[in-house]
Amino acid sequence: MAEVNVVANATPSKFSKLSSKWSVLRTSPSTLIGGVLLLVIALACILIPWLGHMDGTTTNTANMLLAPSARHPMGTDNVGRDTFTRVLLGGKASLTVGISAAAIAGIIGFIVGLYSAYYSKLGYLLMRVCDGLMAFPAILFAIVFIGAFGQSMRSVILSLSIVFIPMVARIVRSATLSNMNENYVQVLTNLGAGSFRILWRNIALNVIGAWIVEVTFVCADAILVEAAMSFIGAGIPQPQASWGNMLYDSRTYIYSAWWMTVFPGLALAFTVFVINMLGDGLREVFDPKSRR
Amino acid sequence: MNDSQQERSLPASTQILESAETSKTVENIEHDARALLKVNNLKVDFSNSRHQWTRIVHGVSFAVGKGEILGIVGESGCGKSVTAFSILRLHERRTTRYEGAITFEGHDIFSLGQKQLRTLRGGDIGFIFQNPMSSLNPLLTIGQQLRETVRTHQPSLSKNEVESSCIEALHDAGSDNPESWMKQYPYQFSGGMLQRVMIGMALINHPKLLIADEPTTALDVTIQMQLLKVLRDLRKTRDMSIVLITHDMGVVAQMCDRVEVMYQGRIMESAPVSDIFAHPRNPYTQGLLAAIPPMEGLRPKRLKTVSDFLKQSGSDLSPHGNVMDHAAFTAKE
Amino acid sequence: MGRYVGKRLLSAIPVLFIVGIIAFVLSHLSGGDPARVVAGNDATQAQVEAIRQQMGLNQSLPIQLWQWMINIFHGNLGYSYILGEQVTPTILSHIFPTLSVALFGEAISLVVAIPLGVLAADKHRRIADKIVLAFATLTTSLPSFLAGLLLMIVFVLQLKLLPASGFVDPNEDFAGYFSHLILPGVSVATLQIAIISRMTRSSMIDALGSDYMRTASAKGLTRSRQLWVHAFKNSSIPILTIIGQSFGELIAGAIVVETVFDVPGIGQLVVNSILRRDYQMIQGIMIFVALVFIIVNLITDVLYAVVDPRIRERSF
Repeated sequence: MAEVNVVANATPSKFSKLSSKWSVLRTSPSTLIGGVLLLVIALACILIPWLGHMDGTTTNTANMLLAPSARHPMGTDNVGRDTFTRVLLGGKASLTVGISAAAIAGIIGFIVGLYSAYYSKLGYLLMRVCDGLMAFPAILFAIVFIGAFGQSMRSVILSLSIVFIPMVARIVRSATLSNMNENYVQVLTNLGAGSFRILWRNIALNVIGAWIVEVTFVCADAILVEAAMSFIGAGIPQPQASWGNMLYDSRTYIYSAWWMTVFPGLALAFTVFVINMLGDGLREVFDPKSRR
Repeated sequence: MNDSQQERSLPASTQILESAETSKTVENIEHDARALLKVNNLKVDFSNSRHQWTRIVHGVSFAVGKGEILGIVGESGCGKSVTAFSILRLHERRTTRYEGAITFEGHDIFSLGQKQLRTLRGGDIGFIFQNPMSSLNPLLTIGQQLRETVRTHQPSLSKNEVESSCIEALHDAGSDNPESWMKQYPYQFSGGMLQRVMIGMALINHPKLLIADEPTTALDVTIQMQLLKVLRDLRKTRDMSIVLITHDMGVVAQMCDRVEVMYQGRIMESAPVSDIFAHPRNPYTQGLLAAIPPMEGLRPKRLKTVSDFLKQSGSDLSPHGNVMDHAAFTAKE
Repeated sequence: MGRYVGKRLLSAIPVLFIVGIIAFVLSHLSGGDPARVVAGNDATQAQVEAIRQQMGLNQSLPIQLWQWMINIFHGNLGYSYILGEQVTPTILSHIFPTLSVALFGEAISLVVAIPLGVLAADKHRRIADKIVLAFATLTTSLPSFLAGLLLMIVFVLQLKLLPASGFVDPNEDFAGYFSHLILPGVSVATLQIAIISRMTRSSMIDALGSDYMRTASAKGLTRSRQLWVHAFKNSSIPILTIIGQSFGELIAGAIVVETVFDVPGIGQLVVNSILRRDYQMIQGIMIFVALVFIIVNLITDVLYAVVDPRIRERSF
């Protein structure tokens, strides 16, 4: 066992690789800007409505469809709710969905990917299930899932988590497979290290970079799919605000109240842009080959 | 055939820097009058992504006469391939800077426009690369790749004429079955066969000059001999000049009339092949020759290396050849 | 070639099988009693029972699944008791507008994205390249339905150029059909353009760095021939791959964009079927969409073999 320790300690070149990423992080502007902007968006969406005791659900017919003004910087909607408040609350909902779905799909996908690479028969089975799940668009699966389990934020998160597991699992699996061909895994196997040790204390650390990048993109995708679901009326239920269902409401008033479309739309596109930027930056950090 | 060759040479309207003005240092090369290609004090710089320039070739001069085979020999990284690529300006335009002059039949290569340059490339000057396995497009048949070379340079030829000149070129390059080769893809061929295709492709428009960049390095020894014979025969039958780039003194001895020895972007020595083997003057050349294992007699315990000779002569690497451009060396850096 | 296609077809069967199970399980999880829904509120227990018999719902779930799969292999996706219609023709009539939008969008994206990608690769690290990259990054973040809403504000409300919504049968009025496809098509194309142009750019950059490109330039070929014949042919495999992979997103985009432009497509059918608890229809749609996806991937596999002789060789 002592020898195994020696080898396990010899792999830390991989550890230090990970820690050296932090210095690269500072030199990768898109990672830094993306990360900071995402943090700003998240804090704004959580803190401003809370500190300002803002109310995004009470309807007030006296304030219907008001154009942007000092009092209502983004105007009001068709039932007199303040659009600015609802954009912030919608952002909170979107980020909650995106981050939760990315976290759940990320963790399960990581485990599935790791083991399906290590055990080839299990891998074959799991990958066929993944192929099956990926054979229809995420949104189709998700709205049918919502149809079965009821329309709520929880089922939106759950459905998106399931849909995105295969994406994460595939990336982790292929990264694991290429690691398994490396010498250090052969050495560990020959020294009698168990599968748990090899997978979790060695390979996992080398796969985690690709995983972080993929999970970031899954988060952006989940936000987009949630918005699309809410937009066709199969996502986060009214009256809770979501960028998708705000855009759905705006459709009828697109002729008269442009602000109902433009502000939630911009918020959605900007947030997804920021997360994609973070993802691109992280990819630069973890996979220097992609730096072009 | 002669007529069509005439047509393909550059139009008179090409801006020509008269060779007399630019080639002051080449003047003393004995066979200057017959020279087809002249390289005069060529300097090549490359830039990296941060726009920092590095000099790779530090003022190289040589000339190639009609029907002559000139060897450029040196270790890897000495700039011999960079020099060869510069003759057709094959380096990435944005990251390369040329100084000095290269003239081909009196035309200044560096002042040619893109279109005129294209007529030279694959037309009057053929090029053979080092690695035949990757130098052909894997998704196009040999025939497609040969035909487009003919059509680009001789658009007026009929379909049958194109076909027959492809087959003739392949035949001249030593193909036993040119017709069936035309239909095949590169992955179906061995390295030696592909290099024959490359030679055929370079010959196809009857060039006056063939530049061969380590044409046999990637191939095994028997194939190497066969291909060198093909090249030697071609010189005779087609009266072509060849610039042969190699790191192999054996190849130089078999093939070349004259040789330029390059080291670190400079020419160390320039002499007829017979002289260079008999009386190498430059310590670097002496080193190169001493590094060839002797074919007969006692086998030395350890072969001398180039650095042994360079140490002996101190760091002074000034050339001893009688035809060198000394100014280029004193002006270095 | 035949064997290659056959092999690909065989490898699609397990995927289709799993898709069938997923679709079946998911639509049976929705709870409620479909027989009760079909029978209506006034029906007696006996009537409901009879309908249940007729629908085959009294059998165990694995047997129902088995029966359903047998039917699918006969080309019968089932019978919607709620609509009182066969599922297949209903899906076909709704998939036509969706596929029209999707394929029109795909055509637009190919026409735009491929030249953009080639241009960016040719001008690698220069202004044109950076503009293309920035454009691609921006459009990746723009969901198709939002693009649709914005296009609607500009082209319909401000410029009054194009019809706002609806769908026209091409047999009745082809020009109308076409003009109604423009905005939805462009909306779904935005994301595709981003994806395809990025992939074209990066695979062209790879191809342009290879030895055979040096040969092509040493032969005196024109730049456009170097780019479009030599480099493009070699980058087409990754481009085909990304087109196949993103086809799902294209369909998803079309499904959502339908809502913006009131196109009576598969998206509306799904949402309505869920509201009606019509699970024969839902599972039929899922398997149908998966089939389309599998066929598209099959086509890209065949195109690989058309492009690359080495893939063709291996399959014989």
